[in-house]
Amino acid sequence: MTASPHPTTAAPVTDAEYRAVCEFLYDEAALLDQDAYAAWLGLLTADVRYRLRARTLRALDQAASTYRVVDNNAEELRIRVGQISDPRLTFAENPPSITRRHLHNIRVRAAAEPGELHVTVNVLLHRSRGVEGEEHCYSAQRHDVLRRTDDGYLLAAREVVLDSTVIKSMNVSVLF
Amino acid sequence: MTQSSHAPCPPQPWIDDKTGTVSRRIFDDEGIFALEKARIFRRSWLYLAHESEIAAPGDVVTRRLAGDPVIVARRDDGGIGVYLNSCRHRGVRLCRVDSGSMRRFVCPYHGWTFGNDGALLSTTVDNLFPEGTDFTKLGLIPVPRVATYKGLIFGSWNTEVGPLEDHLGDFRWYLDLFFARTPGGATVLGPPQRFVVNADWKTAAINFGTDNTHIITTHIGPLTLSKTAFDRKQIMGALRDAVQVSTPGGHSVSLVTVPGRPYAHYPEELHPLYERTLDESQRVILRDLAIGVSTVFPNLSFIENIAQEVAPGVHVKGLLMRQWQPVGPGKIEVLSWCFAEREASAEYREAALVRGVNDFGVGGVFEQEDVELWSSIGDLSRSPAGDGHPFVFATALPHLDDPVADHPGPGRAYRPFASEITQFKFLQHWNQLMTEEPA
Repeated sequence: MTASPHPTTAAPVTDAEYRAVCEFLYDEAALLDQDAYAAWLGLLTADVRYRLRARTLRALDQAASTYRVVDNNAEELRIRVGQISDPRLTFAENPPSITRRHLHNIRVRAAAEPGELHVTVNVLLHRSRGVEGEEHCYSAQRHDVLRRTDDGYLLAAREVVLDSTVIKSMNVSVLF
Repeated sequence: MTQSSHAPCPPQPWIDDKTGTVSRRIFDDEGIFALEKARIFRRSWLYLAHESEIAAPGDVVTRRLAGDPVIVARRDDGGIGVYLNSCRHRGVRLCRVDSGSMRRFVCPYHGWTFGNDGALLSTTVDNLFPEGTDFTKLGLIPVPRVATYKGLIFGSWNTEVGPLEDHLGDFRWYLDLFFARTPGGATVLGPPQRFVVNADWKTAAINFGTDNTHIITTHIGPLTLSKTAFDRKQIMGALRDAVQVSTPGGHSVSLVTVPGRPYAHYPEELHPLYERTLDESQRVILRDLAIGVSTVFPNLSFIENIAQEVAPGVHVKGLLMRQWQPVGPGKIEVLSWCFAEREASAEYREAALVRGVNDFGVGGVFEQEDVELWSSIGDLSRSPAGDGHPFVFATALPHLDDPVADHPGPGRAYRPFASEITQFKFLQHWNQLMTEEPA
């Protein structure tokens, strides 16, 4: 699937809401950049779903396809985070990758579900790891669902589609 | 082919049967890589695809066979055609996608057109060729040997290679246990993941076939956190009783069983199909199977991982196949597919796919740890500093000639589970192919 799963026909949100969404996304990305996983988990809804896919190459006139890389429900996402944030439980992320998330082309639309927003974001995730300073840069599009709550926005779903058919890194042990 | 036509290989012996040691240098070396291509990859049967990936006439996938790009096609007559992915005229890549449906291969350069049986249909300028040109000799370059075993498609560039049945031999019994345990057999659950790891293909192959010692250290994370079907004590007990099995040809499988309710972590509706399809000795294994992990020589591996409780009382296991495609010394491209029984419900197949990718592959919480460690070996094995200080597989030695008698399947089964027996036997087989002058 290449098209955004989010409807782009819905009316854009107000300037104030757009700005609030952007600030939420930048703050959230900053938490991941800093490996502040406990705080980041606080921004997720109880029913969050986190998915990551990559592309396959098909002819222009044939339906594009993807392959799945991660498909975590809330509990499994918490387990994934528990693994990469505990020095006793991971080698892939201990020492941790040095990461920086660059968010662009942010589009925000009201979702059909009251109180929810569809947010499409282009992401560049730069990752440096290992004592040899190996570097990877992932380009992806993110389809997020944010839910308004009394405490502000929470992330209810994130679907990441990598702009790659062959992933040139040995693993994707970082979060987008 | 002689060694002299390649970059020089590091000094022998590469494998020392007496000390259970293996040269560090064979895991990242240009000479070894070239010789492996000549002696193993261009001579052996190699996995290409699963029949369920090319179910309908016209379906194609593109793969590599011993490094060469090939097209794997379901022909109009229902057969399987495998061809070098290169126009017979001037070499242009014909099929420029990962997969798709195409009954004809039309070269984008000069329009030469081939059927999915490989035959040349048109050059667009047939009338300009000399009189008497035999166009039947200008078809696609075929992979000379193609054969399937219960849905698994293999090919070989070696016209002299023996039958696939002989290559797989006794190991077919174990393949059945995972990929042909119902009448319909297995089906892929989508296209393969593809990712690049800076590791030697043999490192990956022996990890799956089978490094049983690393499970507790490398995978302590998911074993601690995930809701596996068994607690730590049960797993440790099961690992003590588990067997590793080696069959002729370098193939191996490790089987961990936990006695209990038969097929406890497989979908209920499939139990009668297992009973009907497998023979009693196979059923004895599958009924209690907790983990199966394997390498089919040289570079095909699979794993059916420990079941996870995905909802209260609901257990799901992922079944994954992966191919370690050597792309250079110390570098592989991994193709990773998830599988399930063809008869499984759509819901179960979805759950098995989710289970598979969350545990293994480029985003899996188990495998993300393996590749980190494998990829740190290459730099360190290249150096001549390691000459005289080989890698240690000595735990293979005490039981290498002492298989156990209580395993119902073919081949030689061994305990202790954590000894390095099948890994060492894989490398011994590798060594034999690498050092014997081909006939």
